[in-house]
Amino acid sequence: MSALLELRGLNVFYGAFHSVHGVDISCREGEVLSLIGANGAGKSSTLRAIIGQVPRVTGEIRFAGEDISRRTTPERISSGIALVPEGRQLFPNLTIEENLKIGGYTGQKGSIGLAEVYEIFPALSERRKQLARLLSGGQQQMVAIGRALMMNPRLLLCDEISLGLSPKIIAEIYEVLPRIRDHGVSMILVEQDIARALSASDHVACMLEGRISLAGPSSEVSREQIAASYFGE
Amino acid sequence: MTGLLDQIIQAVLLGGLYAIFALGLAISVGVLKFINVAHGDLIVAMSFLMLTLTNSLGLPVPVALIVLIPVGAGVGWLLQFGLFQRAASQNELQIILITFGLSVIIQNGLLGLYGADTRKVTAGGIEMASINLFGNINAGVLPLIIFVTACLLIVGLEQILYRTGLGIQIRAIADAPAAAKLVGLRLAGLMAVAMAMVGITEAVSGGLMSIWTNFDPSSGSSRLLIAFEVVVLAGLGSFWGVLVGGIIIALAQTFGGMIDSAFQMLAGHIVFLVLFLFRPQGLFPKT
Ligand SMILES: Nc1ncnc2c1ncn2[C@@H]1O[C@H](COP(=O)(O)OP(=O)(O)OP(=O)(O)O)[C@@H](O)[C@H]1O
Ligand SMILES: [Mg+2]
Repeated sequence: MSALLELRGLNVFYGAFHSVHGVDISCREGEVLSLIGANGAGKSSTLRAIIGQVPRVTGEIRFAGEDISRRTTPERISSGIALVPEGRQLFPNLTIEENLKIGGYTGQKGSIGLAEVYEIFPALSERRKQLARLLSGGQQQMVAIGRALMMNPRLLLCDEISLGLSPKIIAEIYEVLPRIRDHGVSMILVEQDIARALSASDHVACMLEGRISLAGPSSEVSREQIAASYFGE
Repeated sequence: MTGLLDQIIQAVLLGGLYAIFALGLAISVGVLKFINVAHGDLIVAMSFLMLTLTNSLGLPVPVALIVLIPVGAGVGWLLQFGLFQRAASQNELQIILITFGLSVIIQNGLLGLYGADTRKVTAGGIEMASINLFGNINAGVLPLIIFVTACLLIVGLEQILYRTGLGIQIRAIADAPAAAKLVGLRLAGLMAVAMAMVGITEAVSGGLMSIWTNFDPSSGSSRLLIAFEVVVLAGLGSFWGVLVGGIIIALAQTFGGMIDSAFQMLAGHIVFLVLFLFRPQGLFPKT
């Protein structure tokens, strides 16, 4: 099976600062790939490069067989990529339902609509008219995921969806990932919690100082390999 | 006593015109995040266009008003897309300077085209007509039409911004522009649509103002000042707040004028300043 997403020699620059160095990553249709690494390793930069929200990139970004590296963010989203951004990035003064609808406006049409999101996250369904800024962290994260799902992506990019949440809420959120997968969605999970990342994914890639330091099937990489590639030797 | 009530009613109705002046500015400050210094001049340009449509082309006043609306929308859209959009990507001061330049250009353009004379559009007697409200209280038909138009504009804007997908997207951009980019909203296009809405309020303002009062190419700055005071007074929480703000300024002017006719405009500014000192966030701020 061919790759749904393929990065070849991706570089990301912020002005003169070279943040991501020649990264190669591929994610197959239906696969969950976890992307791990220490703070500042370049995980978020990589995801933002895929969606088209970094100042300058070089290298190839192939999605569904086409090079999308020259396309705008709205074009990439409407072709089937969605991002759950780091820090959630909700619209604080819009209601839950309005936040979700935004995803519906920018994404492609498909099987996921408001009803499906409310079914996946019943907690949101009870609070449709509540402003996003008045929600708990866990509920906000559900809105951020729901908003991305409303785009009916083929590839969902999740940037630290467990950040700042209690273990109970994290478990709740991770429980829905298989259901999202059932909709045929591939995923790249950026995650600090390594054990969780490994158990939720088929493949893992580790970044160290802007480079891929380890890549392999999640069930086959050892703790020692990860420790070494996470912090460098 | 009747005289006083009469004056208050006139002031409330005048507040409707002030609210229409201010609605466009409220959108540009609240959604597009900049003060358009040329707002008043764009209104006056619409008044002059109204003059041309009625006097030179002989269109009936209601038809001319309807023609102005798409023109206003188009001008707003083009200004945002062609001019403000480019400046906004530079920095915030630059865009205000650009609107300042636009203001000078419009004023001089109008001066060149129409001369410095004071003008007014005549609407076939409707300016003079009045109807009996109750007892012996009368209200002018034109002020009533203007007030009702203000209410309709507010209802229309709220419907668009709160009930349509387009409106939700525009509010999302106003709320969190960085997030809007990450989820793929088309900022440039949506902001141009918001500016087209501003343009519609400018067209309606200019059209109605041309029948209500005299205007000349330099009238824009006083319109901008009123719009500015109304928006600051109202806060950015609701369009109905803008109507209340307009009424407050109009009432202050009316009472000031009763004390001394020279005091009329000043009274509006003083009430604005006093309320601003006590409530800088406005009477109806965003919650
Ligand atoms: N907007 C920016 N401007 C300048 N430098 C940036 C910017 N965003 C990220 N960087 C730099 O790029 C590098 C990678 O950052 P990035 O946010 O991609 O890391 P990360 O792996 O997501 O880290 P974290 O786990 O802390 O989220 C860091 O050195 C960071 O300081
Ligand atoms: Mg990050």
